[in-house]
Amino acid sequence: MDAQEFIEHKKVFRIAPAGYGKTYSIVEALKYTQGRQLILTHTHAGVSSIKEKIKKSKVESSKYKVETISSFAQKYANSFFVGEDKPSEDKPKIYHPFVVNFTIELFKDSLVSKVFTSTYSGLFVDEYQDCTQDQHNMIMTLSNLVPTRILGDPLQGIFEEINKSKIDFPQDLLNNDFIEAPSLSIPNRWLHNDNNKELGNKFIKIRDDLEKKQPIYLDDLQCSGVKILEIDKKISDNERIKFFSAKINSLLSNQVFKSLLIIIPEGDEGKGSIHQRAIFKSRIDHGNKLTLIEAIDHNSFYSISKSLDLMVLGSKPMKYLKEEILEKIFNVTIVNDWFNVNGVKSKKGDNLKKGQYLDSVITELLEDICLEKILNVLTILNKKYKFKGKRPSLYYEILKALKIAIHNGSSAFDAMIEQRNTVRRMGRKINGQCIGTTLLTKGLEFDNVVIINAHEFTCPKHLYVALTRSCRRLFIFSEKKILTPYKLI
Amino acid sequence: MAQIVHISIKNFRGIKHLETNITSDFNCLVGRGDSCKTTILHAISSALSPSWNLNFSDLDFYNCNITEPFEISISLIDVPQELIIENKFGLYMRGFNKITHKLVDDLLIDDVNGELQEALTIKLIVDSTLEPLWFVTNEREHEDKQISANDRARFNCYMVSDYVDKHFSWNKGNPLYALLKNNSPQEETSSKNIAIDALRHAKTKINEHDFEELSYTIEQIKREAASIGLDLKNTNTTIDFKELLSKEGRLSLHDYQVPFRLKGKGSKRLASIAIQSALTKSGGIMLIDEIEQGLEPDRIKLLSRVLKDENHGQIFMTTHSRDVITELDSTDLIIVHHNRSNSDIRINKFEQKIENLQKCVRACPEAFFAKKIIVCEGATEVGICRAFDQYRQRVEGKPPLSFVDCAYVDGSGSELDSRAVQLNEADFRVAILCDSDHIGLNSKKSYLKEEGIRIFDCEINNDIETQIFLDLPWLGINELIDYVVKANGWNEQIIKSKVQKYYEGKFPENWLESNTREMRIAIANASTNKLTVEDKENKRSKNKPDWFKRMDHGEHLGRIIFKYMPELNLNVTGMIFNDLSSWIDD
Repeated sequence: MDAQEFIEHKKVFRIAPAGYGKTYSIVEALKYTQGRQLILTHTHAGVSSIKEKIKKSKVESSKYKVETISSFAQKYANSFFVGEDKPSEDKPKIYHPFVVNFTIELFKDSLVSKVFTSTYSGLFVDEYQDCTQDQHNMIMTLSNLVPTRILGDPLQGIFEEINKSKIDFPQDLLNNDFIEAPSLSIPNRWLHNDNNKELGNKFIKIRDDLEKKQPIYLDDLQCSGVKILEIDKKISDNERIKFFSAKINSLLSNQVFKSLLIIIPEGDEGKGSIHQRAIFKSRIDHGNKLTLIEAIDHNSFYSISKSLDLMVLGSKPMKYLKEEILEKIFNVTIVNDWFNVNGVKSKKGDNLKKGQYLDSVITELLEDICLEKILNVLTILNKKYKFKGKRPSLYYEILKALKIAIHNGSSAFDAMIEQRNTVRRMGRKINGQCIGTTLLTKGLEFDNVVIINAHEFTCPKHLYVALTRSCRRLFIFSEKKILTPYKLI
Repeated sequence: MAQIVHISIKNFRGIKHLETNITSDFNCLVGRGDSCKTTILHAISSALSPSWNLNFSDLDFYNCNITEPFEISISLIDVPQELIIENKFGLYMRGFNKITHKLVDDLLIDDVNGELQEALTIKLIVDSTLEPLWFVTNEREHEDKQISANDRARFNCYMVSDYVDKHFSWNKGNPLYALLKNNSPQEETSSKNIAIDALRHAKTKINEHDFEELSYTIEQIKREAASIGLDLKNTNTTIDFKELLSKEGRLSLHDYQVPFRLKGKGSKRLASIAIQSALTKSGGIMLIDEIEQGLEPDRIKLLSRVLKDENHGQIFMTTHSRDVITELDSTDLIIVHHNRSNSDIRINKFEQKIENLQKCVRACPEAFFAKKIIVCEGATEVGICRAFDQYRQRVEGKPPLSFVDCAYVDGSGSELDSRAVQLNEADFRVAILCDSDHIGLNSKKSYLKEEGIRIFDCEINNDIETQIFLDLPWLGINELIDYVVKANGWNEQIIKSKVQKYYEGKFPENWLESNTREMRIAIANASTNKLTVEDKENKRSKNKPDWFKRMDHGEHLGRIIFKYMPELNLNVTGMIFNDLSSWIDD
């Protein structure tokens, strides 16, 4: 079924393995569609990747709009909600289901569906396997308004552990009168340009094994461009880090590896969390070349901006400043170098004057606490006292939110929500040399991928996503050569 | 096409605050001068203006107080499809319930009263910086979104006013241009291109002209220039293309060679209305200030009729002309009341077509320009009121009734009470001048009083003639009989026989000097041709006209009454008119 035939159906879906040109098939379809198409996906990374591909193919911008399902639903919910009982955005577990369910009701209303149908003449949904039950219901409602084409891959459904209510894809679609188009059969990602054609073929067998829950023999992947780096189980944690660091640093400094993604499996006890990754990065990335990929809605953005607002009202402002703000934003060691709960530590020698100056700045803040002065303190700490953000983006995003709050005269928390929404709307580009997780990089592709501790994957879908991010070269650090990423087995 | 359903004006010129629903596609605003009718039109025209900027001054603020911004919100339904897409104003859509005539912001509320229609509210805000800002707004919690001049132009809202010259040019933002776009929406026909092409052509022609008269002077300059080292040998004279282009409205309508802008006021306004009528045929909002200006009564009537019958868009107009009102239905009228003491502006409209009121519109259009209305029982009373107005001016030195915004209208007898109630409901102050011999009407009087209607009537069971003939000095009665005899071409015998018919007992020979109650009643009954017992037995009906039941006769009757006003002061007739006078002056 070619692109033209695909879009002639009113309700149609297609299963597409990773790297088989799923996004590309949407771009192709846009050449045949009439009017404006809405393209929905799940992640912000996905949005920017689709946008980029469409731009390259020179499709007019009036013919499409790309958004995440959440931001699409939020846009309608925020515009049409009337009342007091809307959950706050910093409680995503309540907020997102509320927004989606409200939007479903909206699209059952004839006026709002008229807005939709006069704006869009067709709908594409990418990465359907990641839909929650609510989101699925919303798409089904929309599919009654405009022709709807769905793409996805059950084996990449890595969000299902987070989504409490997972869907049965593709069965749920078949139950809703959707017809299945033949799945894509050409591993385009690895056929393009100078990509690793052999690697693409190797993934066919891996996919097959994963679907059947067979053990994965890493040696099956052996081909040019693939390196399996076995970790000696007996060595200490420090030696292990040295082992990673030596290899990774040689890659980071080499121009050939300018497109590089390091993937850490997520797991129990905060494994792969932003915090853990930040620590891991600080231990291996001495040249500070890696970009730490952050979740746009990471809770710390909201909790710290709330703390900023509360400081204005607080009773023990200095203690609060140190523990709830500075230690959350900056490296704890350097915070403790300069501060105790009572204020700035007294310094001697070279640092005497610097300490006195800092003391005067803090005193001035405590006399009259306001967001302007907090902003001033944070900037001074970063510029003059070399306070480094725990994560650089966290520091800069807090700074931006403060500036917005001061400009609008709003709270820092509201400013952060506004700013997160802006990022959400714009989408963001992720490229270069990065460190992330499967959840944060799904839908992206990098020339080179390094997987740390591949044996820690407990889910076939995560492993499949991790492997298939690579177009050319793959480096797998693992304790075992045979992986069994099946929790229950 | 777009239709206005609600208007809200705050702090704009004479209007402190005005909110009103608009329920019709044809709206004629009437009211006394300075009741802010034109301001309402200007408010609509500014809020929906296709210009990218409008000039305002401190005078446009209520009481010239620039610290309070002025705000004009216009809510419309049937807005152009292009405006309700998501990235335009779809997310700002409101619901409009045609049955309850309410705007709804919570679109998920089930309204059993009927379907919602899509609506948008456009808001113009001007603060002390005098910079106009246009938004699409609603009452949900999200920020208003600015609307561009281009998008506002899609409402096709234009105003015919005193300065219509630009309506004859093809420039963007003018109705002619909008019409051009309406006729060929797909094509990028821009009048600008047409104009530039024509001007290029003109320029080529001008270039060919050699301007020989100027050549001597040019040669002189060339020589001078050459002597100081500048070569000007290719210099010639032609027109600067930039000059051709920089003129606003360069392509405009002409009658042969005469530009429309030089035509007479009436014709100009008609031409402008014609252009906009063409627009409103395909939808659009036309605003006409003082439609009657520069037109003869017959053209006023024709224009009003045609606008009303052939309108497919929405029309708002103001008028001071009875010729306009007589052509319209009562439901077309929007009555604007301006209370100058507290700056309160109220708007009233007759929502249902009432046949009775319709007659009132036709019969007494003047009433709709007044604030106080005396509803007269019939032609006699109307005539008396005329005489009363003259009496007040000549004898009491008071201003004319029209000066104090008071009108008197014919209530046509049986419809008197309902007409009075409707006018009262339309916020006029209403008084009734009537008889007291009609049982049906008498029984309604207490209800009318409760509604706030003042009643000026006779002693119970008396019609007005009886009351007057009972109260008037005998000399006055003689004068009235003289008048009736002359007016009807009777002789003394005829009138005598008419009066005799109603006199019980022996009719005195010198009846004209017989100042008795019986004689007064006999004359009164004769004047109204009252049916006698014998008439009723023979089932005869009244076939002769009453003596005074004509406006001119009534007026004469009035003149006699007011001639003897000093002597009437203590009786009922005198009291009726004294009270009426203080009601008028109140």
